[in-house]
Amino acid sequence: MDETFLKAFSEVVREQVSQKSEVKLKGVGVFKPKHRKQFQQQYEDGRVVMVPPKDLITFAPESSNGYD
Amino acid sequence: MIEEDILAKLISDKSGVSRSEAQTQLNELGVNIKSVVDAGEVFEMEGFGTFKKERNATVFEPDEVLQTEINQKYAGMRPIELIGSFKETAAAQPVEQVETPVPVEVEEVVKEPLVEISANGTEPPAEQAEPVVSIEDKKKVLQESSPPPPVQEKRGEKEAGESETGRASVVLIIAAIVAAILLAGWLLYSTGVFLNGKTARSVPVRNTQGVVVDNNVSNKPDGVANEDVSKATNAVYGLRGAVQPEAKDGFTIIVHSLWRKKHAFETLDAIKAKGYRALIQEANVGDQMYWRIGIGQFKTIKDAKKAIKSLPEPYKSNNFIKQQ
Repeated sequence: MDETFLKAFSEVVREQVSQKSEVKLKGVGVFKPKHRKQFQQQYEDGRVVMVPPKDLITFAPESSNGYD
Repeated sequence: MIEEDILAKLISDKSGVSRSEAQTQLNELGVNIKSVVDAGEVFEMEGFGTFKKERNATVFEPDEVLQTEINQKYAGMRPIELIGSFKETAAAQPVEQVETPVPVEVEEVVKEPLVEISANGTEPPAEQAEPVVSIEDKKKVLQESSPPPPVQEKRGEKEAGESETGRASVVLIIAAIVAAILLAGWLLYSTGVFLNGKTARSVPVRNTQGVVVDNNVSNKPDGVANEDVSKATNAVYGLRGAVQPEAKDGFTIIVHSLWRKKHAFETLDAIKAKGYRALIQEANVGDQMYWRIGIGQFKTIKDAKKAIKSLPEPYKSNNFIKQQ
């Protein structure tokens, strides 16, 4: 496939998801932004940490069961 | 949702490829990914991610570069260790915790396969308000594989040698000193060292006719003592004592003209505390409401003028006579 196109595609998806928009690629699925808030976590040795928040990109396939 | 035409437009704008061409390529891309993935293979897009089938469902694994870009805001942040007891107060360094006080979106929480505290339901914002201290990085868990993060300042949590009991006794000593100063100040005040020769009695001694008997005979630069007594014998009118309703037809010496009611009343009390007969008046000058504080009540302007001579500064030089 055309490299210019692919590169542009990547960038567009990245930008849109960064701006909290969803991007749908027909026939494949939807790229979605996700935010995970900070939370506490305890290790086995008893220490407790605060995990920082995170922005993520996730993907939801078009038809999840694979039977089109 | 960005798709089809809009997506094609955005790609076209970015790449210079025509919109129709972009649309064609988009379709092609979708078809390609699907066929590769359905064949059990992996479709990789460099710098973006990989598509593959996992248990009959198509999954997308974003490339590290993409992940870091998306997480730009928080990239480089590391977990911060919390201390159970919060004895060390000032050592807290809330390192690079940008967002914490406000829990923003209500998106899904992606659970990691680690033990979590019940804090999931509780909003951690309060944590940041409390002292949070980080330790040196011995942490191996939760290491993101992102590129070397910006220098994250981690300070040791030890206060410079100050123990709990040591600090408590310092506080006590300071409190004792302050108390001693206040006590000394009060004593001096009550012996009249600060005042202009008058005792600090808020209620002047009077007999039944309202005559003020001034017992204090310390030095008075203006020769006030005698005048005080002579004023005092003039029961209804006078510079001292309580405000007499019968004297309301007379004049008063205005010594303050204030805007704020609260301040005016406070000043009124202060003047009364000095032993003067003080009253308060409202006056409207133009748009502004003034609260005027007057000293004494006098039958004639002449009497008022005479009384002014016995006033201390600043009142002596800053006043005007007004009808009550």
